Amino acid sequence: MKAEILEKSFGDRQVLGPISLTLERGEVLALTGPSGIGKSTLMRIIAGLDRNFSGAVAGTGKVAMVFQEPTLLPWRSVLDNILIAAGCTKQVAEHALERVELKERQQAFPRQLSLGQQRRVALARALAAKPDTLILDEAFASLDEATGNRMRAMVRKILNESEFQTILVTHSLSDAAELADRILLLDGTPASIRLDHSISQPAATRDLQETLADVRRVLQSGSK
Amino acid sequence: MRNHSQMAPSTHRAASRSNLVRGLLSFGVFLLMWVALSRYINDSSLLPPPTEVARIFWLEARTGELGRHLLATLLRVIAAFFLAMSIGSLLGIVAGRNQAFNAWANPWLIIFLNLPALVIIVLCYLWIGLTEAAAVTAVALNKIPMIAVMMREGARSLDPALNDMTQVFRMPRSSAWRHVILPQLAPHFAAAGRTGFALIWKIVLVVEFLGRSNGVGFQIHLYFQLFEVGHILAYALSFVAIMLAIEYLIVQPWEKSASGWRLNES
Repeated sequence: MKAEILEKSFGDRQVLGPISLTLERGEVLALTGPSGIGKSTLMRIIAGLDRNFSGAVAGTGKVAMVFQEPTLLPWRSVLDNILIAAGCTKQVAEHALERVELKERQQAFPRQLSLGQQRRVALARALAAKPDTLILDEAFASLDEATGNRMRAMVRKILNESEFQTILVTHSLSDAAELADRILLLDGTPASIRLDHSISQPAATRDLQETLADVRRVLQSGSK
Repeated sequence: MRNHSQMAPSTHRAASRSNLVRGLLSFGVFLLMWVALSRYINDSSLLPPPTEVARIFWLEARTGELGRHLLATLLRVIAAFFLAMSIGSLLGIVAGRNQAFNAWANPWLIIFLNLPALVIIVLCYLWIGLTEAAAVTAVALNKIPMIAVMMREGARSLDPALNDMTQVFRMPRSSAWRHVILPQLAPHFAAAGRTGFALIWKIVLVVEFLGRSNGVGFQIHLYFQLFEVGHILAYALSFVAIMLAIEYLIVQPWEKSASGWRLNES
């Protein structure tokens, strides 16, 4: 995937400055930065939800997204939610639910599930769509510690097994250090890429505390 | 606070039964008050007792007159209802999703919302003639602006996050409408349909009163000139009964099935 964004404004206010971004197949990129800096705007541009910008995005292929709010259809069952949005077969939907450990709840309605379970359904929906690009927007926000850890472990396993390119939008450095191959820090007004840091250790074998300390050190030296 | 969605089924059934008993008791009180008032007035030409109205109802039903006029009115109600719902919903949904169209449509909606029903009916009869088409058009025109406004609000309150989801997953337009947009609009359709039905049949009676040669409104006009209050009540109450039957047998069960998923919330 290649994104060349020259400028994005809301009215007179320029939100994003020149941003050049590439992403390889199988790579996991964490897009991080302070709240309100423009992470979501950049993500919406890459997802094709916002076309009102100057620049170009190519090579995203089929995009699937796990939104911060699960955005499920509350009037349809879990299984139907996946079948309808992903346009897949029942077998693919059930396999996706199995990967997020929710196959037994396929006939439940979304509001019968906890927020963590709803996010997992949203993840299953994205997987069932067989995407080329997966975008996870603050997928672990507002979850309690245990649920968040469980979801992170699940996402790490899925990302390790998958071939698609992934963009993880997060304000948590810890999430980025745990899951990403590359961390991209967005900062400034208008926002641009302040730092593009690759983590050498593979996600499956890395020591989280060590990686996090390393990432913090790099970010601090990069921000100076 | 507990709400209906959290009630156990047996509690829910008991509450429904007690509401039914209360409703029947309330109807009984209404009948008793009617009997008491008609005895107090003691003039059956002014306010006949329920038994007299029932006798007239039976006589009219036996001759087939009642059925003929009820059917004529009901067909006008159905035709005007579907015409008003189709055009009003379409206008409202487009106005709610397209600002430019809304800027054009809004002044028209305001004008038609404020035009008295009687003016629209009279103008339709004058311009189109004393025809069935004029009658149905007049009723529909009276109701279209209100349905459009209600559906416009529905279209404005559509969840933008779900809209994003349909775009990201590239859902076909027909599928997005069927599974995502229309279910969100269902409560607004139900509300517009219910208020539409309640008002339309009343306007149909006025339309018939002014320019048709059959229907409940025409009969009320006829018996108004003859000062036959019993006949007026027999026809009016018969039609009220039909409207109530439609409400309880069609509208409410449909509404319940359309919002059944809400009862599955934990």
